[in-house]
Amino acid sequence: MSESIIKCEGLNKWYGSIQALKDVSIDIKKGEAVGLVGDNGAGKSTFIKILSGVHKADSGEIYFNGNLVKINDAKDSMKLGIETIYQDSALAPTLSIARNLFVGREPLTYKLGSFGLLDRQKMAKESLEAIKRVELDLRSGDELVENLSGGERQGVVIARALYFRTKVLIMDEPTNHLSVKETDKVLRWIEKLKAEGTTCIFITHNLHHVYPVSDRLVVFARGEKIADVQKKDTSIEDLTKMIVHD
Amino acid sequence: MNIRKSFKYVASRPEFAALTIFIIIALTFYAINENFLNFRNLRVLFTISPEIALIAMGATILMVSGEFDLSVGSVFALSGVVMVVLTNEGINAHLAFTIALLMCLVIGYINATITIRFGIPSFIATLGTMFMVRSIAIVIVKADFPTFPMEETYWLRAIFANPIPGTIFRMSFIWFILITLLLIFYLHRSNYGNWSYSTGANQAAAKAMGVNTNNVKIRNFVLCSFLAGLAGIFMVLRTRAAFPSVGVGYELQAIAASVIGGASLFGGIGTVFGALVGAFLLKFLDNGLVMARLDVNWFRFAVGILLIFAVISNTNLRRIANKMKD
Repeated sequence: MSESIIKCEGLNKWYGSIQALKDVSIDIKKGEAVGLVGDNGAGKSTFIKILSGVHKADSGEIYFNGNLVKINDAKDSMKLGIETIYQDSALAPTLSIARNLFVGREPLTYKLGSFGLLDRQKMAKESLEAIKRVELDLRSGDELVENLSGGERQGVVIARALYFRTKVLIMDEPTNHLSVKETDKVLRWIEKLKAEGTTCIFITHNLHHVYPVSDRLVVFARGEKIADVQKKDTSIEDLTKMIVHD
Repeated sequence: MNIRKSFKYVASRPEFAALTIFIIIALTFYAINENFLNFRNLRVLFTISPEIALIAMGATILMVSGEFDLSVGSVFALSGVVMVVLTNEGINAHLAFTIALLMCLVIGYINATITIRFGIPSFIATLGTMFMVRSIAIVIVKADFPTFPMEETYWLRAIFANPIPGTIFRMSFIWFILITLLLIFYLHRSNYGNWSYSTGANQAAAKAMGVNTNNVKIRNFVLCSFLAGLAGIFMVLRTRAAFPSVGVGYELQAIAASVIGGASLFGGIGTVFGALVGAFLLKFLDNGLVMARLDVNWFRFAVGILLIFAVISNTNLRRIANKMKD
């Protein structure tokens, strides 16, 4: 693998007297697909929340493209090119696809301070192109997200990541609540993201879903990283044992 | 095909249903008493309707971002009271006007701070400030109904309140149209509007996309309070006296108007135009009952029916529209 994109050293995080993350170091390479696995409370969510700027680590360092960075909030994380998709909460259901794609990063025709008027033509045109790239069978970006299936919604989210050339896409249970067919589709989109050079990190408890598309698997337990292996050196059975028995 | 498409368009936009009901109500009252739409009565209607419409539009924008403001009726009263009392105390009327409006901004900011800082429902936070602000308005004027000194307020009345000769409109109506257009740009055409919708529809998602949802809410609380205060000042400039008890129940009428105009209590849905239609609908209904010589006490009954009918039809129309493919 090539150079590293995110390198964490000695991350620690306490919630009161509970240590949620214990001295975690991970080096994630450009274009890699990493599956973070572990039981509930293992620390994997805390880890990605630190990367996405929801929480701050109490100690430890994060390097992005080799540079030491401070991630204080979601905006900092997005500026670096890290995008995080949380389960069921990535989209605003009552808004159109076009509006969802551009929330927080709207193309503007006129700007005064942080206030600006939407470039609605650009939004309509580019949203249509973005959903075409993920081969969603939708005719316009005006469709409301609440009318889409779970799989189609993930498609919109991935279209957004592709559109904004996200460098690192973090997904929390990307295939939860999806049918087998839709899961398949989501996994194919992830292949597409990888092909475009996007680094993908998933959190999951369903090893079977994430195993085929991952290059590498990292196992968490009680806030610690207990294994960090290339897929070719492990198997689903080995990983399951680690998660269950540790 | 085109009929299906236009049906879907109308069904997914509840403000059109409200507009239809509005027209039916106006024509029905006209049929009962043709004086309903005569010059004099239209002048009355187009004087009082914009005042509640300003409040309703503010309420809708705030609801879109997922919050309520129950203090608008009290703010409506207090802004007028403060302006009149300050002017009577010898303060320049234009300065008093500015102070009253600034005070509304501050009340909006307080509503936002209580709601966001302490994480309590805005319904409760603004119920609290509703009582407090009303109390202040009554204490300030005691049992009096202070009137405006005429000369000092000459220009303010000329700019904001006087009837425009030969028309059914007052100057306030021109301001109302201007503000409506600005609000339409704000909510429907700007990034701030998009942030408001996404905050109300899914706050976690909006946050994850880098939207400062607290700022969005603060802005809309302040806007809502400002519009209520401005409406109060329009009324006071028109009546030339301050009544501390005015606007009781306006907060619920504003929410009713918003909902009739298609806004959702759960946030993320609503339009400025819908709120406007909803507010005009309520005022036309109120006035129409008087003109039809019906007992005015039926007004609340009619509003109640309309409200329930509107919510049921909005929910169902939206469901039907959503099921239709283009």
